Amino acid sequence: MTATETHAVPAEHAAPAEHAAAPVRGPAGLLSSGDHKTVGRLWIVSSLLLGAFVLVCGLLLHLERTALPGIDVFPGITSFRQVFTLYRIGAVFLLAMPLLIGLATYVVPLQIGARGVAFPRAASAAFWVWLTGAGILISSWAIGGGLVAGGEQRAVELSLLSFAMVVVAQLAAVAVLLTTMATQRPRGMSLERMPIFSWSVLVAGAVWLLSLPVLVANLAISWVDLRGPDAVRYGAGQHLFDQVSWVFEQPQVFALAIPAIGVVGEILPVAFGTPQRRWGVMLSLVGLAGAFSFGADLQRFFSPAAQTTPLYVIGGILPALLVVALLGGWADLGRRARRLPRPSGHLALALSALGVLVFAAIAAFIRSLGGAVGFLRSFARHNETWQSDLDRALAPLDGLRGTMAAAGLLDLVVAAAVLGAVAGLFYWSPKIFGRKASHAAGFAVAGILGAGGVLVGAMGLVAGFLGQPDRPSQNFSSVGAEVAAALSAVGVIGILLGLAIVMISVVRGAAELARGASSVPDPWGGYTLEWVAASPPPADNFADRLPATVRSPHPLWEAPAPDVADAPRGAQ
Amino acid sequence: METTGPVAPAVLPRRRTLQVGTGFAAAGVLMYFGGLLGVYFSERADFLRANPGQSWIPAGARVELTAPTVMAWTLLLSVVTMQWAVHATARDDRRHTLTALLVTGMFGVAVINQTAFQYGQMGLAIDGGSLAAPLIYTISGSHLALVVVALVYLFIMAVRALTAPRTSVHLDGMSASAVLWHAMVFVYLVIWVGLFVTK
Repeated sequence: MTATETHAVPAEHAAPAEHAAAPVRGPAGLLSSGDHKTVGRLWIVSSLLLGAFVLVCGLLLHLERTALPGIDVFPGITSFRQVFTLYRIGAVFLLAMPLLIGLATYVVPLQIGARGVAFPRAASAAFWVWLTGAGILISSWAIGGGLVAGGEQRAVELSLLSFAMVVVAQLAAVAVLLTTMATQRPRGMSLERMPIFSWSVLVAGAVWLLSLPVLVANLAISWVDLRGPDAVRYGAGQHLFDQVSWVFEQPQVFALAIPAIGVVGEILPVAFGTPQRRWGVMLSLVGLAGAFSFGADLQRFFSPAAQTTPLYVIGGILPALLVVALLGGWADLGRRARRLPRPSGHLALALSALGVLVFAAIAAFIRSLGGAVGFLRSFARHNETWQSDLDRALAPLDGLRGTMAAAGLLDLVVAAAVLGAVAGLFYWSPKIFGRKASHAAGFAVAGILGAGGVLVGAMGLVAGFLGQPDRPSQNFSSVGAEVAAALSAVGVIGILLGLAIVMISVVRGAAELARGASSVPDPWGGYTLEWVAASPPPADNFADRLPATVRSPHPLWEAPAPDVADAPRGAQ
Repeated sequence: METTGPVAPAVLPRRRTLQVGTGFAAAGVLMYFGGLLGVYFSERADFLRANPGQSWIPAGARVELTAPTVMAWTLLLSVVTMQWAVHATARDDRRHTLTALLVTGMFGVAVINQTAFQYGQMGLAIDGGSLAAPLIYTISGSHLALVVVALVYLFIMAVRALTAPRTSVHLDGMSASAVLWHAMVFVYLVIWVGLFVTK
């Protein structure tokens, strides 16, 4: 079989288990495995480890901004800028996005009833290329690179190339997932019957696949310009990060939160033991969130007025409205269940992710009003009185542009994405590790990581209102913003603590798995196909346990009679 | 929890996996070039607005239309031969498959050769202080890389199809390579109009 020969093999044609080749164990097995479960676990563990490193970078940045006597973390502005850009890039491309990709690589094939991913070797290669790229990326920063002015030219070139490598590898992983969802679904599972987590991955994946190649294009232009003795414009150090900053700002950054919405949408109906009503509306809301999180066309570097365009303003205000609509859909679950769900770690994490997401939506709403000022001003350009009134009334919001408010929003969305992914990790822990994750650990992470994320994000907004510039300059701290930076540092410590607890849970889970732990297939009373599989699933995932035809979005709650409302409640 | 319906292997052996996967990859490639061309057009418009009467292409550089036009026609012809290969593959016509693939590959190699010739002819220095130079080299160089990738992909699919007892078994792969090939040709046509015709 070649690398591209990946059709799903029907069970009747599959080799009997006793004749199948024994799986390779140890490091060789990890390196060569195309099993989506192994690859998914590798993504998860690696992103958590790299994420801890990235968060330490963030902590150092906030400590430097406190300007406390005796705290002088960075020897100069260049090294501060280096770590500043590494933190931004790392938070998205070494922590949040790979963590979500890892969870999706593990769970999506199970949820859609597939025996594997469409291109197993491409999925494996994507992970290893990403990991190698991440290693080179961090190394390039260590030898004087980074997307900054004043860096070593060769090291900066390496930073650009490794950044592109990291992005392309993740795009390859996303393309594998999208192909799996497009071609490996079972009979009857139309797109509108897909589980909401898989649907959210489909939406986010489509946004990433269509927007992140533009980021690679930005990097390619910078790299080519840097090849000459003197960069003309695109490779100039002071412009490098500005060209890619759109990825870390609204609306693009919201694409990270979409799979987290999917996890929440997966956990809540199971917790309440009630099927989600208005399924199509919920899927449409997730799709709409994806459509408006496309931000590749809003590049401030090439179009300085991008943040006053109607699309930008709508893209900032809409997430708040969409989150409200989703909350309405989930509130309906509680109303119909007429009982409180039994507390669990994954439910606490899902609610924590939802809370941070609501906060992020409010932050985006406030920040977009700054853009709306510019937009409204264009209508009032012939009326000076109206214009001056508008300026006076909304000056604080207009002043948010280019401030730390952008960093606050990024931190909030990343925290929501990580919390969502961790909620998924705890929810699907019987599948991933063969045992239920500790509820106490889930409660602790939900509280600490959630509070830390909100604190960091809120302090970013406060610093923005205080006029702290987003881009590092010589005077990167102002009075008042120093207090916000100190509180942000406390928030980052909280996130790090939360991540440490998650890592302990993952290590314990991996150890149990190595000892052959197994759980009941469906400990929560779930409604999607992954709960049919054994925990942990065998090599081919299902061993002929699947229903022949999927007739609804919640096939395991499907009663023999067609009345879905009377479906069995999940055993809590 | 027990399932309620009849139990059977549910995953359908869907075909066209490679076509779908390549389609997603091609979408990413199109967006990559969309990003490059978006920057190019935006920067060119800004330059011409700020410097009325000046040429976007720096003095001394020769960005002529002849070679790009020949390349555009070469690639348009390759679209026909590529589809010929897919058609012959579907009909298990090994001789026509091989001929069509060889001609398509030859067209691809010709485009690489013409691009190299064009680079030598242009005299466009990347360190000459012009905004146009890095953008033109990034766009045309990226397309050159795409031609090489499309050729390698075509070669792999050709080997698979031609070494199989029946070529139609690998129609999915051949069609997938055609998807990437057509995307590559489409990209070049946009480059031809955007960079060379309307320079």
